Amino acid sequence: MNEKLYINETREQFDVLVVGSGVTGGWAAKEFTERGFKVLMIERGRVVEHRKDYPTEAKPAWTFPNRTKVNDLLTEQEYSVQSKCYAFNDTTKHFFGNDRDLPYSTEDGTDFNWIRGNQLGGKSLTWHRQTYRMSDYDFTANKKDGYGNDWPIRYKDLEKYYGYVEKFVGISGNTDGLKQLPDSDCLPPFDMKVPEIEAKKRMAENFPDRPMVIGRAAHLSSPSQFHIEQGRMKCQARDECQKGCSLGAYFSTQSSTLPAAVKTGNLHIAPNSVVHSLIYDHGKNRVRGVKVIDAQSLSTREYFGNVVFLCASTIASTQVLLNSKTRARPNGIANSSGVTGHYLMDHCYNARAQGKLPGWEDEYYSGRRPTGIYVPNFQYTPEKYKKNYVRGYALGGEANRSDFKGRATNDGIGADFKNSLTKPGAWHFGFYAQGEMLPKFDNQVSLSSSKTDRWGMPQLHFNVRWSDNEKAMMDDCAIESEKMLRAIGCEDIQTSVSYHNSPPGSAIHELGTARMGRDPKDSVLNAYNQAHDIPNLFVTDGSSYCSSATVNPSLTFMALTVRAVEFCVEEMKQRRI
Amino acid sequence: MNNVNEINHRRRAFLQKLSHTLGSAAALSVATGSGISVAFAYTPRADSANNPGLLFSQMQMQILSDICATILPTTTTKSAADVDCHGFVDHQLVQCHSEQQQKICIDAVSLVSENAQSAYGDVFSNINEKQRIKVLEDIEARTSATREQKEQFSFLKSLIVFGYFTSEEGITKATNFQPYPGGFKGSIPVTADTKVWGSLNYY
Repeated sequence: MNEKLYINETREQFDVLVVGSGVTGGWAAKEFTERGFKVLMIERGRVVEHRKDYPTEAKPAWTFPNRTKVNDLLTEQEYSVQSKCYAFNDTTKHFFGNDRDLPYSTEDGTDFNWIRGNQLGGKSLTWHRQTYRMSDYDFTANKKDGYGNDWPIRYKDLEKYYGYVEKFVGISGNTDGLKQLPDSDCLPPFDMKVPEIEAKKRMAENFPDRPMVIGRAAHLSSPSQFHIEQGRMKCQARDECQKGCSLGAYFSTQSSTLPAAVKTGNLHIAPNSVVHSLIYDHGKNRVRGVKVIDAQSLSTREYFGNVVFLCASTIASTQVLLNSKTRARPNGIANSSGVTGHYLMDHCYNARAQGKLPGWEDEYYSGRRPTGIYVPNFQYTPEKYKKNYVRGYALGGEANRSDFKGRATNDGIGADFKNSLTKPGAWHFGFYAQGEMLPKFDNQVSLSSSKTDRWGMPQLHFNVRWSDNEKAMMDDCAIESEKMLRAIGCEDIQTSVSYHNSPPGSAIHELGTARMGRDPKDSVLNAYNQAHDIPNLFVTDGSSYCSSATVNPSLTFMALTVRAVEFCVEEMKQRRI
Repeated sequence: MNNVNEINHRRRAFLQKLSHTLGSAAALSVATGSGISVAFAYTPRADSANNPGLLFSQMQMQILSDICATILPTTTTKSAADVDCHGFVDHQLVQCHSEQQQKICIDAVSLVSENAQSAYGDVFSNINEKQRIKVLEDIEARTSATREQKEQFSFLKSLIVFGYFTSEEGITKATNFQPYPGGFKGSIPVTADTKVWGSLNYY
């Protein structure tokens, strides 16, 4: 371990404290340190070093005690929530939080899945790596249909920052020329499989308003010299990303932003540091630092900085904001609006459809593509809304030939059955919904008035539910997906909706609990992710979102972070901070 | 208000049962969540069929082993019994499945045993291969099983198939092991020799 990089007790006055080390924390640290500022990155979890701390990487299924499934009792006692995540298994569980140590409660009649990644790198190690720009249709949706507050920014405000982060991250994808899904600055796309190319054609013929593209993903399909210099290599299409990737073939803090920040010599990291609250100077109306509880010893320490960037993830940043209070500001020092913790959103992934696709028996593919096909939201403006709900959904999907799993219960005993399972099975095509969730005041996360966790932090209480809008959207998506699969040529189509048993949080796209806005009366942050109430406090993770849109949010909060840093540096120069 | 981390009563019953089977020290280590992978790491054994399992009796283990060998027999690759799928199923049911699912598999083994007796007047392990296949096919065809019994058998079968195709033999010999694909190609031709890719590293 690098003694100079990792610190514990310190009296140093840093230029910037960055709370969190995931996607946004990594970006904030990189941008500030590269501009010459001394940064302390504060992480509540343990150190995870690139390459060294990926203990399950490349280990085959037969080497795990339960063939990569997690012991039932362990799941129930320590991972009852985390196990709801598709990526949770015996090969990845060390990158998920322990639910026994991280309790929270939910309002009667509601449920919430809070998936945690409390380690250096956060959820950048385990994310799904889908990366899409938001369009002006997304930034203006709240204003046009009246749900939620108007975003204080537009596409043109973020465009150059999108391009900047994309070049650094490395995004594989096509230039599709769609106004509802602005093009990214991309590396070459992953191939579509042959039946997907045909499906794209049939979709264009039957549903011209619903273009199908290859999913854009933060993978080095063909690394540039720039990425090679970062020590990153071409994606091998192993699709075991959530174990960590020593090749650095997908973007994570460890593979990308952290080495850049470390290289400057301006970064220090305080691991095992649970931020309890912000230290606030009432007289100057500035945050001076953070109060920290040691994750292991439970002792208390403080870190001081001229600026604080909260990048701890939506729910965790919100917890810190709500827990930072004074007698004069009992609901939170940056919460004069009273909206902190409200308008919690996720995406609604609760409809899917799948069918068998006859033919193409002489077609196969090689490698495990780390992305799928994507149909961007085609109800992106009020004129395109359905009658019984507002907003829309995107579709993820894929064509695959089945392996043994899909055929294990087929009839058959003996050598013929066994041999059949060793051959590629029939093609199937599936869609799943990525629906927008409306921002609603009633969907709230708040501090428990009585219960604390082992670090003395007030526990969180969730009161979030799918509204009739999301439910109607999912019902419609199942019907439309069936129509599309039929047009593609599928048979034996099965559809399902799951909003009854898959609560908010399940898409792991928590958003909106410290939203941006023009008016300090109804928003926490201004157009630069700066707290309206406190000039040297910024929040740049998903909590700053005014609407969820349908696209995966990570790329946008990367761009927001870079923009916020640039603004903050200018404000420091002008001595306004 | 809901406590998200509530542990249900089924688990307590399960723990008690485990403590009978394994001794309370081992059960305690499960309860505290430590030492699980050490105490319970599954490694294939050559003699599983000759010993009682965690869940199945010795006699049931022998029948299960013969069921494995019948469903996925020796071909150009080893059989499911050769790679100890019966030992795997016994272990996996205790580790990763509910008591209800455990009972389903015990019932399925009993059904096979009873059907062999009534059709051939002998235990499943003593009848010949053709007869064994017929006993299992009759369950799948529901000529000797109810719909529910067929579903129970299917569940057991899916565990055996999972065990085989996640074993070293299943991954590296029966299917095409591709640990480092080197990138993704969207189209490759299929020939008579093409095997399904078998190298997913998590399930």
